[in-house]
Amino acid sequence: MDMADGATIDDLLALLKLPVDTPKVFTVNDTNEKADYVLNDNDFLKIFPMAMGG
Amino acid sequence: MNASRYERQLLLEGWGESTQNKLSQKTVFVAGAGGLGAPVIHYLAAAGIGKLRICDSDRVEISNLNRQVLYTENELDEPKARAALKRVSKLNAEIDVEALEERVDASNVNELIAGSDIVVDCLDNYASRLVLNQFAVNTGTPLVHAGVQAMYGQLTFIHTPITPCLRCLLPDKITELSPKPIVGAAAGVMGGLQAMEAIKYLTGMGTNLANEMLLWDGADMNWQVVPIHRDTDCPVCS
Ligand SMILES: [Zn+2]
Repeated sequence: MDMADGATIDDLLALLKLPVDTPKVFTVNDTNEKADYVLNDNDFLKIFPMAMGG
Repeated sequence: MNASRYERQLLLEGWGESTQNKLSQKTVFVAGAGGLGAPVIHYLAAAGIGKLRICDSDRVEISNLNRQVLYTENELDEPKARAALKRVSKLNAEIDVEALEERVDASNVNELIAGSDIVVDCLDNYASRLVLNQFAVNTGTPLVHAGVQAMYGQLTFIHTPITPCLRCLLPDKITELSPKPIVGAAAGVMGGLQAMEAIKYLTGMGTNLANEMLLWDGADMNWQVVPIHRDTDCPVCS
């Protein structure tokens, strides 16, 4: 996806209309990152929702 | 100890009577006796954990029965902790079981959990999970976290400062979903894995899922284990 320079994972969530207030695990190029991670060209981001129930 | 009861696990290489005796001296705090708690409580009792402290403030409802396999229609409206104690006492009368009809919160968490060797998070909301997490960080007690929803779930073994805490992984604000959709068997999968993590820790056998999170998608039957790390700005563990 094309994103503005300095865009974070949170910005991408907003663009994709995904909620920011549900737990998720992010990996970028197989490294765990937080939602404030600034995305770079060719980053491979995976978003995993964390289940809330028990 | 009735060795015949545990014969099949005593056969494991490295288990033996000393490991079984070790288990019989351990205390596990199970927070939540619902979908995850049901398999956790069953398997830990069957394995011969010395003492199970089962904590849940709810009563059994008909809508619980698609997943909370501790209970039958005969236990409707009974306090879950008490009904779970009754069930487990029939499964293994050799172990000590305590029913705590309480909701874990900041005011009672120390009193409820103190003296437990490990905590298993079978809760259904993150507000209470964060109370368990704070206790685990403060005391260095290991915490087996899992969550389950629909046909997916996650699992990790938290033991700070070696691992991240639960708060490290969460956004600042969480909006809880209620009621949460769930296929009962999904809770069985994730709860079974939680029991495995607890048994491995208590026996010293195998390797716990530290610094990693297992993410299971039962709809496509896909498992992934991803690395997780501490948040250096975490308000709880940093
Ligand atoms: Zn933390």
